[in-house]
Amino acid sequence: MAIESFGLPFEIGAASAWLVWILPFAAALIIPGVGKLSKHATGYVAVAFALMSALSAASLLPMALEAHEIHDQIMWIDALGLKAGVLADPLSIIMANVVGWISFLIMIYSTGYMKGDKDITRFWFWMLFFIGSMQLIVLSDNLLQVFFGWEGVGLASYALISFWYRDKKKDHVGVEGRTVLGMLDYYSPTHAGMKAFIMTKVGDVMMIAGMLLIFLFAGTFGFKELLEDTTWATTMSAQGLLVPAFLLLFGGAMGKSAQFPLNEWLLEAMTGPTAVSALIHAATMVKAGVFLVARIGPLVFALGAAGIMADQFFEVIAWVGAITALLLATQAMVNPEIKKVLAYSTGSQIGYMMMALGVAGLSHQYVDGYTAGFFHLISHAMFKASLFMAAGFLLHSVGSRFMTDMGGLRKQMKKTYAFMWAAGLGLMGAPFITTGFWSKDAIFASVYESGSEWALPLYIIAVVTAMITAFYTTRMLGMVFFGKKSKHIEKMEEEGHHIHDAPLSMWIPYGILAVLTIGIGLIGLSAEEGLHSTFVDYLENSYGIHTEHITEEASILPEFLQGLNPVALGSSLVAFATGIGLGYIFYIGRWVDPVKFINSNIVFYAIHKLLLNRWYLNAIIYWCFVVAPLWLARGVFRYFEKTAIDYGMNAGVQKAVGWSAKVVQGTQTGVSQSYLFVFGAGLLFVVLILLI
Amino acid sequence: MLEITSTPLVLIAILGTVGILLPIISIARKEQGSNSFYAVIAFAALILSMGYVGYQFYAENIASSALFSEDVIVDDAFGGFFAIAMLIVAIFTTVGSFNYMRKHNSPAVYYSLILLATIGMVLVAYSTDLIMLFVAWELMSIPTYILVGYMKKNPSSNEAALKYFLFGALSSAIIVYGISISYGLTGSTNIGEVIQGYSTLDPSMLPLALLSVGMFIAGFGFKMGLVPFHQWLPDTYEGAPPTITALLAAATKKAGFAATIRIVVLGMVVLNLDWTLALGIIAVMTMTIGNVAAIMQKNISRMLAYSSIAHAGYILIGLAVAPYSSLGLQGSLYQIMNHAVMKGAAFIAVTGIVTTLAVTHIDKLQGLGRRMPITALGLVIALFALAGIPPLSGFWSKLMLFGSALDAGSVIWWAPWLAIAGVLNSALSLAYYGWITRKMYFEGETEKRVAEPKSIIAVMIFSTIFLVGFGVYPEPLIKFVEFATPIISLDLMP
Amino acid sequence: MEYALLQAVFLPLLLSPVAYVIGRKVGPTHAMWFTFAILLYTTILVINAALSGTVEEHYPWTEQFGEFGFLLDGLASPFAIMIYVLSTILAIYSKPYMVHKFHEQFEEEQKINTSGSGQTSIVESSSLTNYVNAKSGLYFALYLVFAMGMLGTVLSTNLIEFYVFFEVMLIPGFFLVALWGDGPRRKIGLMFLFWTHAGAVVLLLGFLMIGLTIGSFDFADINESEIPPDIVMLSAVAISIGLGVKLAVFMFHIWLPYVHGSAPTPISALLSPAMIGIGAYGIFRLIVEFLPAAYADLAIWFHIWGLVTMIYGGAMALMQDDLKRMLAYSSISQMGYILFGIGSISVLGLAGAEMMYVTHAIGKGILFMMAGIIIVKVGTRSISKLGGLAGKMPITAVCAVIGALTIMGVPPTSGFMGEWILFFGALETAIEEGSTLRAVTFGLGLIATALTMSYMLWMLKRIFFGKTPEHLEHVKEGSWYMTAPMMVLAGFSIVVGIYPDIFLKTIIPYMNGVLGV
Repeated sequence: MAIESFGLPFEIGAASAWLVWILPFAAALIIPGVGKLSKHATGYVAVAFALMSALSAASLLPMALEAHEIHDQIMWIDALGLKAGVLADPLSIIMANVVGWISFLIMIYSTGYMKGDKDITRFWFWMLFFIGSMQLIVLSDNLLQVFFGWEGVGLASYALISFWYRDKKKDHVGVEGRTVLGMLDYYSPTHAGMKAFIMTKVGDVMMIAGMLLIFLFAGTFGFKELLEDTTWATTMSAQGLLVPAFLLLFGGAMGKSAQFPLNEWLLEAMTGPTAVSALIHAATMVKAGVFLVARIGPLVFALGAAGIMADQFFEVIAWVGAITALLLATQAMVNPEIKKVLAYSTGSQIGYMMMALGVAGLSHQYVDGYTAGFFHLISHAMFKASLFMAAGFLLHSVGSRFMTDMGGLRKQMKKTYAFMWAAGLGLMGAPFITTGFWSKDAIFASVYESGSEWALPLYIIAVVTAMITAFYTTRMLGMVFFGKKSKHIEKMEEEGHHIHDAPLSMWIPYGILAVLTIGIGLIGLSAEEGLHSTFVDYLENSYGIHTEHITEEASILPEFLQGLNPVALGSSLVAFATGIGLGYIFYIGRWVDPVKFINSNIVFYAIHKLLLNRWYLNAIIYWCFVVAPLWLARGVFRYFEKTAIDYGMNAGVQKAVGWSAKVVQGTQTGVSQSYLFVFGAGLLFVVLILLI
Repeated sequence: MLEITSTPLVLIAILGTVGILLPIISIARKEQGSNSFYAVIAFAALILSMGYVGYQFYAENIASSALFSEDVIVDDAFGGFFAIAMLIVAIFTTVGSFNYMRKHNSPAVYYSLILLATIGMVLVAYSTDLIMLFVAWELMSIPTYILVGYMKKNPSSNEAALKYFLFGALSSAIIVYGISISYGLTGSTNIGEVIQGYSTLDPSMLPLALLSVGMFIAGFGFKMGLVPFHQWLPDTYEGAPPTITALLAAATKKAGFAATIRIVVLGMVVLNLDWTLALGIIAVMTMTIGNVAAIMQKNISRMLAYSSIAHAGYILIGLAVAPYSSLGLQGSLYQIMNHAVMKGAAFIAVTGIVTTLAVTHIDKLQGLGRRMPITALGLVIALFALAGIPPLSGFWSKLMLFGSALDAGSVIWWAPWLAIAGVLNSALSLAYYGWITRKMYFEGETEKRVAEPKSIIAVMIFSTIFLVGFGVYPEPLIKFVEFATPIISLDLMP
Repeated sequence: MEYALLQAVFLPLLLSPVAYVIGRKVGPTHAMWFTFAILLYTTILVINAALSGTVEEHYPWTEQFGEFGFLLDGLASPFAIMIYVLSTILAIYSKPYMVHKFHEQFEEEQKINTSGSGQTSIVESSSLTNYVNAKSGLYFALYLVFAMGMLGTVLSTNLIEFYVFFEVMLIPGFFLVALWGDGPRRKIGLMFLFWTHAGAVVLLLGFLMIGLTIGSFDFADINESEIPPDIVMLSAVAISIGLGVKLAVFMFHIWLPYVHGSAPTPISALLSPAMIGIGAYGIFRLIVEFLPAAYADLAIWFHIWGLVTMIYGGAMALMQDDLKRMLAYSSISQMGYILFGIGSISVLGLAGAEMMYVTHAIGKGILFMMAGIIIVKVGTRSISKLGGLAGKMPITAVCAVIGALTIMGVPPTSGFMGEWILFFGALETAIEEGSTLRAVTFGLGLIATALTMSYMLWMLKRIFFGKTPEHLEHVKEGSWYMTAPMMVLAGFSIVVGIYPDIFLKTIIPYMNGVLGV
């Protein structure tokens, strides 16, 4: 066994797989106790445990490279014959490392960012809980256990988004007083937390329905068990339930990963502390959905290879991803709030990942799209975490979430400026030097080469989205760092607030990630190939998905780009150039005033308004699923519960009895003559009945 | 012939002697107002009678179920059962009067009348001859006419007595008319022979036979308080001294049932069975009107009066389904025994309230739970037992009654509706029992405790022990009821 | 242990006068500890008995109506354990809440007295102490009887015995509500008495039909005998209606919002989770187990009825401003879940329904305790007047969140374990029968969980989060008597959520047996 060459017995490997998710939970449990002793110490404890968790994840890495897996189970719900377990295979090990290390960096950042907050204990508790839940999703070997983690991240996100539960004005998102279709586009943290929890719950409901369907036929939740014996799939397929079940599972992923149409919670999630946003967007929550698709995708594909087709599953994923990618990217172009821009961007990038994972199933070379999607997940985790942390620092120092309140900051915060550019280039997919470029290019290539009937429209959407991405990233950087200082900053400086660069604990984490974005980018192609070959082995070993090795014909590309698809490469470059160029014109060079430009033409104005109003989706969802049901409930309460049930049954019965009592009382006149009359009538009545 | 030691004769001897002696003693002693002296004597006589009945049962000197006899009275378990129920009420009345009569004149006559009325009631239950029954009936009624109007200066007492007497006379007349018809048809006044005669009756004579039965129902129905023969009842119960109301509601009422069971129910077997429906309809009417009317009452005696009308309806269920279900008469008898205790205790509690606080209006009962805790508790337990809430004894009898109606459902289609009506009524009745409870316990909590009459407390303690004890462990009482219940069969004819 | 169940049922009853005397002579604290000790002992007896498997005890009672017995099996033990655990825990919680209530009522009465005489009198501390002592004695005595009535019902082995206990728990309940409730408590007490009694007598009709048809009221005999189909159907309908009133399902829930809203909070916390669920126990025992033929016909109606109740209760809960009324409607909705589970003719659906009882007992218990703390410490129960309390009473807030999560069915609380098993059962039958109706109800049922989540989260938001109104600036956390019981339950919720085998391993074999799998 290869693992032994590292001097580690196999059991230790299993133990460290367990520890990856147990450690954060254990830390969360002791944190309140630590907080009672010393609030200051909580930060150290939390970071230490996050590090330990990340280290145990790292200790599993050698196995991933060898494409080995650990599957360790214990009895859980004996009455139902359900087991709990960890499944550390290359997919989950790599994911666990991404989650573990990025969260560790975010935790370090948080020690600076949250310094002095009086609810710090609660913050650490939920951060650890969040990480633990995510690692639980990653390492679980069965769907039920995944669901525990799944709801755990939902819960943690709820708690952290509404972390500043006192609903102070500065913690809101949106423009105060602004309405869309009569719905306020201005959210308090507690409202946002609720919104996130309930909206993702809609996805969870679908997911649990899918899980239960599969459990019904397979009798197990375990991923390995599902693969071992696939008669369940045959039965389900025969009844036409297989694709619905998988799509329901994907519904859960849609909720958690903020895919269309369950995307609207993601924007308001920005009310949380920025460290939380970074965690949600880079490492935990939204990646959970992608991970789930990556988890079940090979299974579905393997079933397809065995003749149980479920192509619709992949088609839906690809299209949902594509729509989300475009939809959210367009909105990012116009939003004035920096965190919201980043949030839109996350949703859009997740859309890319979904698209890749979906397209993978539609092509013959499953591994290409699979690797592309997963590689994009990794690179996105790095640059988005970096961007968020940097943005958090910006908010912190400027005291405003609006980019219009920033501007011209490049001189005062050089490090942040540099790192944001590096990470931003990653997001834009700056050619050849950033991870973002390679991963996006891989997605383009996999879509282009998939051979699916949908390849072309999907490809066009992907390219257009790439262009928009480059544009809005440039816009963001331009608005923050270039041009003149805003009035807000000038006012701050007049009042004596000096704007300075980030403290050590804050810039180090996002610095590292920004550097990594570029650093890995430089060796991007080989990194991708490494991942590719790992996944080839993994899919072969675990799912029996065979990858044909295609000997590539020499293309027109230069030596170091051999193996890339020239079309994809070309469109990628064009998109990048167009996007950054347009952005430069409006926001860095400031040759054209964007406001004037928009107002110059009714079409531009209308499009701008449509995008700013989030395609009206949010308002429509609120009208349909919040206002209307409440209105209905109120109607039922007023006109049924209060009247028919409450008044009718309580007062009504009372009245009816009272009325009949009065009637009976009426006969009791107190006059003997009438009594005698009744008596006689009664006698007659009795005799008559008897005689009849 | 009856032996000299047979229960009814001994009871007549004890109660009659004491009843006649009391006024004589009072004349001899030439003193008025020494209430407790006469009360103790009457009480002793009643306890002695009770003891004798108990002894007879214990010594197994009593035949197991109602028999017809050639004699005018028979010493059977059925009569013994009623005797016990009635004696309990008479004892309640006497004990309650300890206190009540302290302020009133001529106690000797009062107690004497109670004892005489008791003899009448007991004899009604023992009678096997129509003439004997009628004599007993009058012996029971006449003292109670006087007792109801005992407070001669109280106009409502007088009105009560007048109405009671008026209807009593009317019903007596009707009963006599019924007796005469049956005598004319069968040539006998012995109940057994009458029934036998009816069974071999010429079909053309059947309407007349039915008419006589109708007369009996109406005549006895007056005492039972069946709708529509009930209208005198609330007025009388309200006006009469509450102790006497206890006697009327809990005891003389039962004499009506005893007579009805002896004559009508056992007679039913030989006549057209369809007319059990008449009893069914009356039962539903009686309980519904009784309960509905009770809800709005402001006077507690009047409310309890209506409640006792309603209870007559429940008891009648058992009579109506008696031919179809063996549980029917058992349930009725059980309910009669329970009702004697529950209603007796309730009225005695009212007596206690009247004598100490001089209120009968329900709104004035506020804070009674604090002012008279033991009386109030006894009253509440009696009321909940009346409502049939377990684990109180009243539950079991209602259970049997409704059960009998359902049981009969397999034979006759309308029987389950009696149970449904009974059950709904039973739920409805909780509304007014709960209302009194609410007034007593949950309102006006600022009153101070007052001294409660000891005699009332004694009754309350007894009734509480009876109701709770037999509620939790009903087996002895069920056995007793089974023993006393006549089995309806033509074989019983002499 | 011999007579364990007999002791568990009757010790509280027999010692209730002692509790009264202790309260009267010594004071509420001692009475509370005494009550707690009795209940703790009996709870241990019950749990101990439950651990040793099925326990049966029989005692002679009546010939005509059968014997008096106790049965603690896979069905009864989760109910019995939850009832006594809650009762035990709430005994501690009762003390501060009820003392607060007694003080309030005392002041009220003083006010009436002084306004009557036109003088202001200084409240004498000794008279207040006497007042509180007397009341707390009565309270704990009634409390013990109430607890005992509930346990007796679920342990009964005889229809009549069941009915007797069913009513026995009603009477102390009535007194507790009418004596120490809020609002028009007397009227509500009567309403409680009246409606639940009305339900109970309908139940009795059903019992009588069965009992008289087969000639025995003992469960053992009923299980074995063949009952004619028409009788089965009629009696099953009567029993369902009777229990439906107790369960407060849609259309029969008239009394519940009033009673839960008004009852003194520790009693609400017993009424809602422990008592109304006994209706579900009744349906399990009487219909599912004893009348399988009727169950097969009625199941789909239970299913739909449960669904309607779930949604209706949830929607009405959204509309409430009174905290306790809101929780009351939530209870209605939760009872809908249970009925929904019973309606799925599947082992896991039924097991899930029973788990829902357990989990609702935990979750709603916590939430009512939360409401009580707010009533005592803030003095209002109107949700619109609350806000931002999380900072003022952190322990309460944390426990309330756990309670709410339990009701919402979010892992790792016990609620999730109830819900998924429940819905799996519903799905199983839907697929096996190929019934579109069942499939639709399954889907709607799942959607209803989102509704549950909405009203619960909205409630939490309005109470604990957001801005703190000025009048709440000086609010303090509840005393340990109140918070500790909550914390115990909250911990229990998570333990059950992670390790549901505690209950499932007794429930599942029983349900297997009942459905003959």
